[in-house]
Amino acid sequence: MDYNLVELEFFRLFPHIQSLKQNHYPDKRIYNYQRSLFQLCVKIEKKITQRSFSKSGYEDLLELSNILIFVKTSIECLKDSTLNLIPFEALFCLEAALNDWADENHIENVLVITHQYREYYYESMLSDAGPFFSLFADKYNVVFKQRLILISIPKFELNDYLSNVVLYHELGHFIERKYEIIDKMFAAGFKRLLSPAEIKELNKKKNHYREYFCDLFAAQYIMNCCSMYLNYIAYGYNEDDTHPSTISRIEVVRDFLANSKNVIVEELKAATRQMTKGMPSKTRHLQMRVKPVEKTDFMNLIPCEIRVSNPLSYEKREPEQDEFKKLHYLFVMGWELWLDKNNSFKGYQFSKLKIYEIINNLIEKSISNYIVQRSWDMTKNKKQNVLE
Amino acid sequence: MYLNKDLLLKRLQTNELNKQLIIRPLLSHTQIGDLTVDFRLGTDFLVSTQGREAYIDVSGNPDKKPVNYFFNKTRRRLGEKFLLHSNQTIICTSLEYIKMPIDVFASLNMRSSYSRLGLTISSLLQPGYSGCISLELTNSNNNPIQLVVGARVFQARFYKLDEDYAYTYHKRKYACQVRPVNSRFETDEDLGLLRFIHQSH
Repeated sequence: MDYNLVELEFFRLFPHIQSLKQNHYPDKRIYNYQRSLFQLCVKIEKKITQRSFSKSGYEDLLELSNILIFVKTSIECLKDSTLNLIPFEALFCLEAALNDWADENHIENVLVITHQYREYYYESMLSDAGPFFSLFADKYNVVFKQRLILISIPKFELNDYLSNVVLYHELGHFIERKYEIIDKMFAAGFKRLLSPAEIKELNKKKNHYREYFCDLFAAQYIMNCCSMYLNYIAYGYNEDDTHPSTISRIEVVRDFLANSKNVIVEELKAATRQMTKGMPSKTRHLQMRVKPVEKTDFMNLIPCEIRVSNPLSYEKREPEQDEFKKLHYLFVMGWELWLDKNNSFKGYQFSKLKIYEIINNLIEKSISNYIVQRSWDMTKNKKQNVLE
Repeated sequence: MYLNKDLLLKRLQTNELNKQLIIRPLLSHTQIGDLTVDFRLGTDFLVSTQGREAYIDVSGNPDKKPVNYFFNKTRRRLGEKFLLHSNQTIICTSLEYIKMPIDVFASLNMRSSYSRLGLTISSLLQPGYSGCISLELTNSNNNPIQLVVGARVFQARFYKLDEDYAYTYHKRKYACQVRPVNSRFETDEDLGLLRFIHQSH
């Protein structure tokens, strides 16, 4: 590995690191991550300027090169995750779901939505980079308190809350990896060495179960909405090494929602219970986490008003709180209204395009009103406490 | 007839759908004044910018750049600032989503604290309108003005009509908007007719 090329890569990235300072993010924890990233790069720059790496061996250069891949992914992720470019309403709902599965680890998992991959996609590199973070702390004395959970969303679907239900499926991939649900589930069943053919088959099965898990994870919050979307984008899709067939995925979600007997659902429920055992929350089961909201507001062209009676309970942000369940349900309601054969908006002179726009607008405004009211009440309470 | 505070409160509390005035979120009841209702600055903005095109062509000519080309979107959170430069035009919305009764219309103007700075609006809300209220703001002051998202910047006076009027029973360009929407002048049918007249001269 040529030292000059590694150096070139660093100096290519460095101006982009500096320009990140101008960004405005929806979550202040992202600023902290950005600061740590900047500190790391300043320390690397110092070492490069002092030519500390120039006499390094292959291993050290490879290590630096890998760090630069991490830095590059972080930059690409941060440059897209600004307040102007991402739907913070959808992000808020996802964070509520993430919070249901949080552990007592002191590391802050921060959800970041980007447009990087032009499709719905969970990129595990930043959240799985544990060894990197230890290296940064030991070698560069830079501590990252945050881990970014990077989920990509197609740019043209930013305000499309009907398609955004897929974000819940992608969050499922993070949760599955975090608790290693599928790996541990299958590790328990094999006590002997496997042949290459068996390993290939096993990996395929694990991949399929991962997808089923994510489908069920999403179904907890947005019921069968992902299935409806899947049935369009992957209609008639047969299984391959990475994904099960669309039909079987839809069946698994259907049986989960109907509480019907299904071996895959039972296995995944049991595995999830088992792998998250001993964690602080008692609610880590695959179960329904939505609470229906009346459709009448949307049918009367007004956003739903989701509030809690006691603003003090806003602070807790505990799993199972009704208002979060209602927020998740807004996506379901959007789909129901869109698919309603009787046309819920028939009293109005709206084209189908306008109805699509109205449904998305009402979902967004219902969530955004909740966020505004919550922020208002919490701040008012704090201010009152200070005055008292 | 003007709707005073008592009448406004009755409209806010009634369950009669078509006569109901809905304002969501209503963060403070002090927004309801004796004769007016205060509205807050929303989170989304369309900011006019100068690009390569010399002017905005409002003739509806499909070969010209669409109006979106002249505006950039930007978002803020509650409590954040927004700097409005001298002579700059922005399109923004109220923080509140409103649904008007079908027998009431409203006239809009800036609160006097803001009109004294050189910010003016003059607009109407039609009976039955649903959506966030669109604001087209231009800073006519020589100095930039820093606005705060969520601040009460404009107010509405409500007037009762003798007859009902159904806004959403007609085709509407801006119904149920929650973010600022650019001018949709190109959908005016008259523009096509006028272009045809011009071509046939």
